[in-house]
Amino acid sequence: MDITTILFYLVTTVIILSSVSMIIVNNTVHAALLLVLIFFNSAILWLMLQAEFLSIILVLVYVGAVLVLFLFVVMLLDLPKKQKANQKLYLLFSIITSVVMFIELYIVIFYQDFSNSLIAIPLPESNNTYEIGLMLFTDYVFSFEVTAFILLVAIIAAIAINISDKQKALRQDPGKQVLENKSDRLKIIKDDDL
Amino acid sequence: MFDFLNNFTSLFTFFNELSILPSTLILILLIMVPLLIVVAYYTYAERKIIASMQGRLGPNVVGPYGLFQPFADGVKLFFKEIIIPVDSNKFLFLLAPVITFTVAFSAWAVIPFDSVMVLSNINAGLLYILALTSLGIYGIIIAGWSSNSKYSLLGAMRSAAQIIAYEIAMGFALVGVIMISGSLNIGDIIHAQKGSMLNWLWVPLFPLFLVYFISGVAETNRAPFDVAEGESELVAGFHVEYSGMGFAIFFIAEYANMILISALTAILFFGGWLSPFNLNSLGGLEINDVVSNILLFFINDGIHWFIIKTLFFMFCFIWFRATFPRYRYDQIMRLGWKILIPITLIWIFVEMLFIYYKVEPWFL
Repeated sequence: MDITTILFYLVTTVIILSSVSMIIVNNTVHAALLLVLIFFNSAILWLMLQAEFLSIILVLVYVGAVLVLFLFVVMLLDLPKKQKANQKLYLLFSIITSVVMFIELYIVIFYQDFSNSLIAIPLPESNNTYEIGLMLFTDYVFSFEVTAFILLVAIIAAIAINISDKQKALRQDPGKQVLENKSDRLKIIKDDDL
Repeated sequence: MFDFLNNFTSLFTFFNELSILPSTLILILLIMVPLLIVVAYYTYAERKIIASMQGRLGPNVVGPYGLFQPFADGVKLFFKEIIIPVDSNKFLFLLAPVITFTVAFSAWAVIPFDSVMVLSNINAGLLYILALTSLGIYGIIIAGWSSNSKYSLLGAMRSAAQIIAYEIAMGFALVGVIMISGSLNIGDIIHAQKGSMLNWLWVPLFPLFLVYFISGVAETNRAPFDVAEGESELVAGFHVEYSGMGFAIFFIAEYANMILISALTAILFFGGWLSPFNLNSLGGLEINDVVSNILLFFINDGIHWFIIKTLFFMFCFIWFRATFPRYRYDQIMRLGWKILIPITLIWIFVEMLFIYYKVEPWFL
């Protein structure tokens, strides 16, 4: 029992417990925060596998950006109280999905070879970030570029959705504001003029 | 029998590994305690400097020149009652200051104070700092939501949107630093700036330095970007409902973050603990008397340069607060998304061309 084993069991226990409670919990904000806890602990797990780049990127991207936006939306939502009408339908669908997922996982785990050959051997005298960069821009450059292109399309689409002509009346035009002169706004009236 | 022996030896290695803990704890205390003292006197310095800029005296009653004022404030806050608002989420309400405080101080683990003085010299140091500073937002969001108050929630929302906007510009500015130094390790980034003060990264990366420092000010929610706690609109923003130590911890964390941003600016763009003079030109000198020895020690690389540079940027934070009016909210968003991010993108592209064609200050 060395310290990493203890840490491993601690982290995995936290992951499992918070995953279960994330599903059970009623409050959506609590669920989102539990998801933060799960991601953070997964990052620790990756760090223990010496994947320091991936683990820090997981914290940076998912915890630091994606889940913040998630929390942002969830906090502003005014969710209605629990509906009891459709519970039987929900139960049917959840049973079907869980059975399908169980069978899939069973096939993956028991018909797949998880032998020692799959364990990554840490490369000597090299640094993790450097190796990942090298791999991304040589062997996997095509998939890397495709991912980048898809993300670019998504960004443009998100901007395009938000541009609508109807809202123009509410917008401030900073250019006009900057160009505004004192003489346009202020009028000094002296006593003599009155 | 062998099982028992095996267990015994494994237990032994466990304790052996555990013995790293006390020494690390001492090192952590050696960073934390001076930092907390600096935070205490930073608040004093802020009040004194702003007072003198506005023609006032500032704190001058408690102790000589009011020097014990931070401790008086600390004791006052410590003995105040902690009020938990009705219908608030008690657990999250108490957790929020803890998260803010932890995140503000844990980033210091990878900051090198000297060529050897660093708690953990990890390879992905810069990414670690970026990841941890992006976590500080959780303290703010949780505090704003859990205290069940309109002002808190509005402050938290403003702050969250602002931090997300400026974090991107900040990250891109750091990309420029990484491109020149070729490393994510903060020690290596400082070593890449060796030479005189013209070899520091602020020369080739001047626009990125400006963007980084502006986003740093925005990220810490300081004036002129302090709409998240704009006193005239939201009372105190996300920490309206906090009293006593809860408020004090948010306060300490904010100042620790300011010091962190100052230290990072000093490290990434101004050479950290490197001396601004070219030490090679002094190499041939023979020095015997005490005065020139002391002078030489001062001129050499060392922690004092790091402290001086950090203090300068800490002063800038206070300077900004005393001189700039608060930005309007839509102006903040425009500056972040439409001005700072395009500047960083363009400069990264320019830098890429310079590095590709091996132009001197950019290509080391």
